[in-house]
Amino acid sequence: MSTTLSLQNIEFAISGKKILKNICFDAKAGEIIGFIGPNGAGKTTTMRLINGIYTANSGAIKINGKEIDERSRANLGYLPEGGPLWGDMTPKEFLEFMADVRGLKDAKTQIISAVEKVEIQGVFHQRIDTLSKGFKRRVALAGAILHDPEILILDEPTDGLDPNQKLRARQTIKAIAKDKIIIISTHILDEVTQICDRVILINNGAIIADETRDEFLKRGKNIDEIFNTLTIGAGA
Amino acid sequence: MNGLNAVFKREFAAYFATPLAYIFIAVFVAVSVLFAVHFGQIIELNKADLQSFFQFHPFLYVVFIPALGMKIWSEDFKTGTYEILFSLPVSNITLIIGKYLAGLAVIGLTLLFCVPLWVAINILGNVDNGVVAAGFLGSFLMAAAFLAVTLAISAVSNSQIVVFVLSCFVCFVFVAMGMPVVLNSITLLFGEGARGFATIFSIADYFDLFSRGFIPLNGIIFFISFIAFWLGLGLVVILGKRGVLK
Repeated sequence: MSTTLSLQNIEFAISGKKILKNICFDAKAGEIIGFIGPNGAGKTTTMRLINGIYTANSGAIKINGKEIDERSRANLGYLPEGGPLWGDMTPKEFLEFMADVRGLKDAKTQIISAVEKVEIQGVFHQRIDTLSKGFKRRVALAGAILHDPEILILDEPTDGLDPNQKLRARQTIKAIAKDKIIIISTHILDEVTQICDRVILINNGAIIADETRDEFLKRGKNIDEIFNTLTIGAGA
Repeated sequence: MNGLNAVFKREFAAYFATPLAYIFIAVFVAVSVLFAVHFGQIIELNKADLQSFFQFHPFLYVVFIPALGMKIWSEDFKTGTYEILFSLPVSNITLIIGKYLAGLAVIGLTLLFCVPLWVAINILGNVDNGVVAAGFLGSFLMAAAFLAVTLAISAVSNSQIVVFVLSCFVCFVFVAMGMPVVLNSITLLFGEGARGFATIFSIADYFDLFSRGFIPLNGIIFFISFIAFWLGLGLVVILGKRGVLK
């Protein structure tokens, strides 16, 4: 069965302030969705809600038609913004922990596979707090893809990386995309044109565009201009 | 509880990945023995028991346990690693229990390093080992109670200093409730009823019974309820942060 993800009428507020307003979209396996918007638009909050870090005030998030719970989170892989990691661990210890806590039966093989995909063999036994930002992000990505999740949520996966690191990260994401739903939350618009096939634009907590990349790019001369027109025009 | 073992192992290892656990164990053992010898006059009294060793534990734990546990949640909230933990297919209770048991294991290890003192007094004289064992049990339960307090408070703030100060204060309040000067003040201000109520929550009083060789049922019930209450409070804070409580 092909994996589906559905967000239905999601509302979320913190301290009485509405962060997300009636967020609705569906995604199916094989899609790479660029979830874009200005800073503070609600991108990260949406990613956190999908991953069960926060709970929505109302609405439903469903995977394969079933509302998300502790068990269905096993189908999700998540790279949080900034790729936070425990600096006192080595990538090996981190991935072993992730495999252990997820109860992976063939942990060793899956760790090797994830390590090869993100190419961190050379730093596998090095303490994470001694690694470069690029390697740290790759280790975090390895943690997110370790269990071969059906849905992969990447929050600003290339933010802060140098151009070479960005290229490698995008290649890795493309390589693992097959048969998965991948949602990339980003404010780097290049990401959308280079690896996404669908664009969801969020502004002030509400979705203002949801279309294929090609349709989105037809709206104006280039993606920067389209982004500016839609977000500033909407009162950002 | 899926993932409990993994969370426990990760948290326990984290204590030893930095000098924290080593310093905690070494300094606690050194200070508690020093207090027993210098202030408790364990040698001059020439008594084959460890009461003069245990009598300082409530005050030592007021400082030492918050120092050990202040990072339990606050570090995850500060560095963002809570996002990894919360996105895993494990329950909030599993995360809390795993973190708590890891801290408890470090405390247990610390008390194990105090066992040579027990051996030493056995060599020096005739010891009622049952009394000493009850003292160690009481000491462990008191430390476990303070760790639960610290865990709950560490879920509130991502500043370890804030967690440390608040936890020291709260733990001290529960120790102070057994002090005559505090009890007299409570009586003066609020009457005898309030004094009786305060006494129920005096951790030092329960611990005193253990250190004198008793294993009182009300003491056991008190410590278990106290720990459950503070861990429950920690759970409520985590649920609140995740937007589960509406």
